[in-house]
Amino acid sequence: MSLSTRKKRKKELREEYIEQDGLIFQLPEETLLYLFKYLSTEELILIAGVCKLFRRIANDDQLWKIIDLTKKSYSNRVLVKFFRRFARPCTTILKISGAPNVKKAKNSLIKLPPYTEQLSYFIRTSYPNLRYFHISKYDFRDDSTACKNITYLPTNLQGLYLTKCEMLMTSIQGTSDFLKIPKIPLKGSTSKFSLQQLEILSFEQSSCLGLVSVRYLPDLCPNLIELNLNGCFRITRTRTFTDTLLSFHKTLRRLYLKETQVDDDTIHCICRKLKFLIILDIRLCKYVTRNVIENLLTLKQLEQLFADDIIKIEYEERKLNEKL
Amino acid sequence: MAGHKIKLQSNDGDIFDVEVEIAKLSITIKTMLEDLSMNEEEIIPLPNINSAIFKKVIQWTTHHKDDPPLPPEDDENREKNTNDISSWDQEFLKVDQGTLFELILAANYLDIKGLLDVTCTSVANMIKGKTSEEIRQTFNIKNDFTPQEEEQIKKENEWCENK
Repeated sequence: MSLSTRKKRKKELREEYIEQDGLIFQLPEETLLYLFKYLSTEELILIAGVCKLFRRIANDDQLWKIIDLTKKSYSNRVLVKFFRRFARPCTTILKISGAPNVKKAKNSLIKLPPYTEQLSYFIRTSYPNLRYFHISKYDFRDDSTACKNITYLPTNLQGLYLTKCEMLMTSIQGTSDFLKIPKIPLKGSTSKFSLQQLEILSFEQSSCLGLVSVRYLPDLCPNLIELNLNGCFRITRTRTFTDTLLSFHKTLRRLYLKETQVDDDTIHCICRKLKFLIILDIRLCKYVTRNVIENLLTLKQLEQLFADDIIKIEYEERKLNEKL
Repeated sequence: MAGHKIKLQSNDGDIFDVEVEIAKLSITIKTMLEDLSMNEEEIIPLPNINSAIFKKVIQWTTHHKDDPPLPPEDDENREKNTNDISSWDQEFLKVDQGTLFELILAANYLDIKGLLDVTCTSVANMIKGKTSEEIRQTFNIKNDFTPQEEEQIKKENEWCENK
């Protein structure tokens, strides 16, 4: 570039530069960044289109660590569009919801959208460093576009929250279960699929989750620290279920069983084998009686017990007495 | 010691007698008093704050002196609730934009998390529900994008409108 063109270019740049004198520009960038933390993902996108400075700040990695798209519910098509347009290597937490969070009118069942292969594909490619994935109100049952199984999810997750979802129950037609890992190893990998890093798994309020599905967990995610089955009322007292829980005896610290149909025996086994438990939730378990108090007291490291008053009060009293 | 006071000086020279317990809601002042073991008779200068704003800050901290401490910042629970400003605070924040931004700066400098929260929430609420053009009008911001940038922004905003 010759000197004159350079000068000319410089002049152009100066002309392009528009001085901002709004009072908000008194705030230093770090304060604006802090301020933008109060905005939702949608609002960040909007404010990035206001002026250059806002655009730069609104695209700061710090503001994109969490992407929460559950304030509204978006169709799968719109979500895919979002994932393609706003790919972010810095994102570690993603939350999506298939249906709005409204108090639904009586008897009106909202049909949940399927969790599709396409969604899954763009989430994996756009957010390679995703660690915590919240999927609320999706349908994981058989549908031609739905993900066949869990191997479609990102493999390096530490937390997976499948809340208020429709999960496949035992199927007579032999359709595959979302949690079931296919026997044949995936293309390009020799080892069997598993979520080795997964520490937190939640099926809260995914009431259709059946015992058959739970059976796959020890192979799927052998290192669970937290398992949340609150509101999964199809979980009943069976040997298989107890064995599944006990297989996590080396890692499991937080166990939520609210509203499930486990019974005194289940709790008895839990208390004998799960020695690392620090949180246990057995509220509204109709088959759990106050006979479990004795067992619960043997869990010395338990820090928080969520239980109905009939159990909770006596447990706390006796625990206090033991200490004295 | 209730009622025990210290002297704080704003950048325009005024000296304020403030109860220690109230002044200590500012982590900056608390640190000065504790770590630097400043003599309590000494006047503590606050070079970044003028009297008008400091009066507002004292008014706010006095009202909130018995609030329970805020939970520590947790990245996972970063989600800020932007609707719950108490009616006292709403009344307190009925000020012009300049004052509001100065309050943010003061809260930031003095490190008073509660005040910073409520002032930032108030500004965030001014942004919520508006289009980019309305945001520009609200804060007197000029559109300084190049045509190429405009094109890109149009694409991004298209997503937001895509309901």
